[in-house]
Amino acid sequence: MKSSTAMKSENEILSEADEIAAMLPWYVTGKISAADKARVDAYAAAHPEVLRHIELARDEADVVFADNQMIAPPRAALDRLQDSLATSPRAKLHGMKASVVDRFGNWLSNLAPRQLAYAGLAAALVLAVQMASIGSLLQNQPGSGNFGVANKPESLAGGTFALVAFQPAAPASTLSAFLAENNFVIVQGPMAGGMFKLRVNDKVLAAADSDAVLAKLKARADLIAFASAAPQTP
Amino acid sequence: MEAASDDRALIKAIAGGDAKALERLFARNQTRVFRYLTRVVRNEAVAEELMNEVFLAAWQSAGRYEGRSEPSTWLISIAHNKAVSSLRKKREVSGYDDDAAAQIEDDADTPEVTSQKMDKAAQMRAAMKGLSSEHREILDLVYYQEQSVSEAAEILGIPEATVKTRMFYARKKLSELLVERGVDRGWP
Repeated sequence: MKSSTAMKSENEILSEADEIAAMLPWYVTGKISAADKARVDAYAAAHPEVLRHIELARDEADVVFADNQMIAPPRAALDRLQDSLATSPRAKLHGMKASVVDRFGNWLSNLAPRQLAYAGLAAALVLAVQMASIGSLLQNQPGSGNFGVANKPESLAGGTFALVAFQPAAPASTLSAFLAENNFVIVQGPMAGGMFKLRVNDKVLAAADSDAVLAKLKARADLIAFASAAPQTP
Repeated sequence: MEAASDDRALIKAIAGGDAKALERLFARNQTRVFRYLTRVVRNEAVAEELMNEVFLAAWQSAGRYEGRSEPSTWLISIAHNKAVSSLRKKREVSGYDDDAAAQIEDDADTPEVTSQKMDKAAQMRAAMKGLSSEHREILDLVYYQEQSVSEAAEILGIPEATVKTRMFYARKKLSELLVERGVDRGWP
């Protein structure tokens, strides 16, 4: 935006009258240092024409202000920003927990709309707590800082997996303790049908051992609504 | 100062990943930022695009805001960089110079006739359109954005003395353009 002419002009030494004139815009807006204001006032006292110059600056300020007032910001600008945020890397990082909770909420709605419809405020509160807790479970997986990392292929590589659906009424603390005691790690979900993928062992277990783990999951009907073996690859 | 304090708190929250805080910062500052951008790039569609980029940049870099400058100065500084970059790209792609075009006389009336047609404010408004983007920008920064000399220097990335002289020559050029329109302000 800078031309060579402008560069030359901006470096020229101003006379005292010009220096005073150069301060007048800030004198008019009040954004002037006390020392500069005193200098302008003193100069104006000795040179009354400066008072007219101050009025010229006020006229300019009025026109610039009026011109700006005519510009209205676009109405959909916030929607656009929100869309952009959703795809920004940082939003993905910080929005993960909410995203997981939202998706878990959607899963609950899809699974049992009638139950949810009949549930009272108390039940809704329990579910909200559970959704938040499972969201935090997803983010506190050993070896994975967050859900986004858990969804990476390396998190799913190796080991034995199970597909599970949790009981909507399962107490979050009990569920958390059960997963921790057994070293079960949620590595993916909620997926279609509200399923979650658990890594039940770091190693590939023999069929009998895998069945035993599934039996353990199914035995906790208070926590697990459904359990089956899952393929090793995502 | 209270507004600035509120905005500082919002920027701190944004640095911690609070997207709602960004929305509030946006709501409080979008008018100021959009008007600045529109006046500099002279195109509302481009200004809207750039405003989006400004607040995304604020989202990304809030953690680096140290609070030494006013939040409004920080945002306008980001907007300035976006506007400069946009204008540079436009010149490189099209070879079109808005500043040169702005200085082409846009009506066929003689200065006397023009002067009779328009009141003082309208004359000044028309003359301002003939200023370079650099001169229009400094007028807006000082008169509408109400930035001090030091704040304008921070936004533009130039010394404070240059801010003063740039403003001086912007006003001087404005007087010349007014004379061409038949209005002699008697200054400088």
